[in-house]
Amino acid sequence: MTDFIHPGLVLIFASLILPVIPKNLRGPYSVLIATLGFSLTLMAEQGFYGSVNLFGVNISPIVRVDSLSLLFASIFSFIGLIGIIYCCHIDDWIQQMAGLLYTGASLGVSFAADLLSFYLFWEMLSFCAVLLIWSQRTKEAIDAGYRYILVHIVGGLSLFVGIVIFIYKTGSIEFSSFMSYSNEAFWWFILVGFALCAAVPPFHAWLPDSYPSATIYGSVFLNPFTTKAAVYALIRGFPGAEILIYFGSIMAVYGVIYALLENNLRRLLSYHIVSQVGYMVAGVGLGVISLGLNGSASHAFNHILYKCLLFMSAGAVIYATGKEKMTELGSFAKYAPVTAISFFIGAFSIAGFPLTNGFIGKAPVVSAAGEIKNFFAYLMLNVATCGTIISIVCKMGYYTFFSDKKTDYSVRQTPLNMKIAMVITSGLCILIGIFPKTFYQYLPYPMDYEPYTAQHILDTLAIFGFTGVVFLIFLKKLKPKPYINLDMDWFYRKGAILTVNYFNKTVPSVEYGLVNRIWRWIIELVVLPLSHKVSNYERVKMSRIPNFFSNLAKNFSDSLAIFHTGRIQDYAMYMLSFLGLALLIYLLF
Amino acid sequence: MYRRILYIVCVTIVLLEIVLLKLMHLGHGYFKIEEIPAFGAILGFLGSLFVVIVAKSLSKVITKREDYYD
Repeated sequence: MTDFIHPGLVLIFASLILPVIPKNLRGPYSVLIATLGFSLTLMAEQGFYGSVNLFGVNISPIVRVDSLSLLFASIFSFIGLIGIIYCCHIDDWIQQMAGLLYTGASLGVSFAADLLSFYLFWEMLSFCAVLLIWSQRTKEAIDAGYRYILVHIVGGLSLFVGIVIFIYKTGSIEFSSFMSYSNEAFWWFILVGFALCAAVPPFHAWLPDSYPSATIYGSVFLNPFTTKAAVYALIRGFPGAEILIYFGSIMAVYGVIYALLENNLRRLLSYHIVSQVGYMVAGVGLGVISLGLNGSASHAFNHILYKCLLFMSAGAVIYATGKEKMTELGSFAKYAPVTAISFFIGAFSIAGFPLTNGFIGKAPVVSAAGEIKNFFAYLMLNVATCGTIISIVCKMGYYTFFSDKKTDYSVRQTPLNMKIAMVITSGLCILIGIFPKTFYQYLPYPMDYEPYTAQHILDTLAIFGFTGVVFLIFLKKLKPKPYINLDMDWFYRKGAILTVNYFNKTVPSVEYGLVNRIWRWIIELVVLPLSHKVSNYERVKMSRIPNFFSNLAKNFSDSLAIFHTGRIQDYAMYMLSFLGLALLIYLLF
Repeated sequence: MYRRILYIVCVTIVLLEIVLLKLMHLGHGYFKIEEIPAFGAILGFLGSLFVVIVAKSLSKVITKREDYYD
C-alpha cells in the first residue's frame, strides 16, 4: 500500500479518538476527518492494492479500485461529509463517531476485493446502524434496534454461509460476479443476504421499522449506506439475475403504496427507500445490457443525494417543531422557507421531474426495461413514479408545508450548519439534473444515452400533471390519519408474542404433567431411600470417631478441673508447696 | 384557482403530446401500446388511480391504532 491510502480505514481509526477530543472541538474535528476521507477517495487511482497473510494463506489483492467502486465510494464519502456537517452542532460524540465509522465501513465495502474483508466491513455497517438507532435513547428506539440486529444477524449468517460454501467449492476468495454459478445453493444464500440488506420484500420490514426510530441525524446517515452498499454488492455479484427484475419492479410499487398510507414523516420516506431501491434492484436484473447496470449505479448515486436531502429537511421539521406526524403539522412553509425549498427540490427529484437528478438517474433503468422489451418492469416502474409523485410531492408536501395548521406547535430556529448541508445537497441535485452528460461519464460502463428526449420529457410531465389531478380528486380521502400500518414485521413482532404465549401454555403442562412426575418418582424411589441409608450409616459408624476425641478431651479437662477451685488460699498453697518442692530438690542434689 | 391552473397545464400537455409525438413524430416508444395518443397522460392517470385504490383497499386490512404493538 504505497500509493493508496484506504479512506475507509482512515475514517475508522480517526473516529475512534473522537471521545478524547475536547467537547467543543469534536464537531470541527469530525468535519475535518470526513473532508479528509472524501478527498482521499477522490484522489484514489484505479488499480489493485494490498495483500495480507492470514493463517498461512496469502490473500491478494484486498483492495480494488475501479470505476464502479469509485462511483459508490465517492458518493458514500461525500454524503458522510454532508451528514457530519448536518450534525456537527450536537453534543453527542456517539452519533458523530458512529456516522464516521458508518461512512468508513461503507467505503470498505465498496473497495473490498476479497470476500473476507468485504464481509467484515459489511457486518460493521449493521453495528454502526444500531448505534445510531439506539442514540435516540427511547424505549421504542431500543426495541427497534434489537429487532434491527436480529434481522441483520439472519441476513449476515445467510451471506456468511454462502461465502463459506463458495470459498470451499471454488477455492477462490475474490469478490466478483457469481452469475456463472447461478442456482447453486450458495448463490441463493448470498443473494438472500444481499437482498435482505437491500430491503427487498419480504425481507424489508426492518427498514421502515427502525429508520424512523433513530435520531434525526442518525436517519441521515442510515438511509444512504446499508441499502446502497447492498445495491453495490448486487451490481458486483449478480448482474443480470432475471429474478431481480420482478422483485425490483414489485418492490418499487409496494413501497409507494405503503408510503401513501403513512402518517409519520420519516416512515413515509423510509417506504420510499424501499420503492427507490426497487428501481436499482430491477436495474441490476436488467443488467444483461450495460444500460441496466449503469442505470442502477446512477440511480443509486442520485438517490443518495435527494434521499438525504429529504431526510435532512424532514429532520429540520422535526427539530423545529418536535412533531413528526402529518396529523400534527401543516402550514410549516411560512416558518422555514429554506427547509421547505430543500424539501420540494428533494421531492421533485425523487419523483423524477425534468432538470433534477432523479430524472436523469432513473431514466436509464426505465429505458433498459424498454430496450429488453420487458413490459411488466416498464409498466411497474412507471406506476411507481405515479405513486412517488402522489405520496411525496402531493401528500407529504401539501399536508406538512401548506394545509391548515393541525396543532398549535412552536417553532425553533434551525441551526446554520443544517441549512448549509441542505443547500449544498439541493444545489447538487439541480446541477446534476442540468448536466447529465458530465455525470454519465463517471458511470462504470461507457454509454451513449440521452435522457432529455421529447418523448421522455412529455411523458414525465404528463404523469406529473395527471397524478396531480388524481390527488385533487382524492384530496379528502388521502388526508393523513393517526394510524399505523402493519407490514411484514408483524410476523416477528406479533409472532414472537404468540410464540411466547404458546409456550407459556404448553411448556408448564408438560413440565407439571411429565417432567414433574418423573422427578417425583426418582426422588421417592431412589433419592430418599438412599439418603436415609447414608444418614444411618453416618450416625452409627462415622460419628464414633469425633465422639471418642471429644470424650477424651472432656475427661482430661474434668481431671484438670479438680485443681481449679477458684479460691486464693488453694492457689497460694500450690505455689508454696511447689516452692518447697523445688527447694527440697535443690538441697538434696 | 390552483385547480384551474393544473387543469390548463394538463390540457396543454395532452395537446403537446399529440402534436409533437403523433403529428411531428419527434419521439418513439419501446412498445406498441405507447403509440396510443397521449399515452403518458393515460399512464399517469390510471397509474396513480391504481396506486390510490390498492392503497385504500389494503388499508382496510392493515391499518391499526397507534398502540397496536404496545
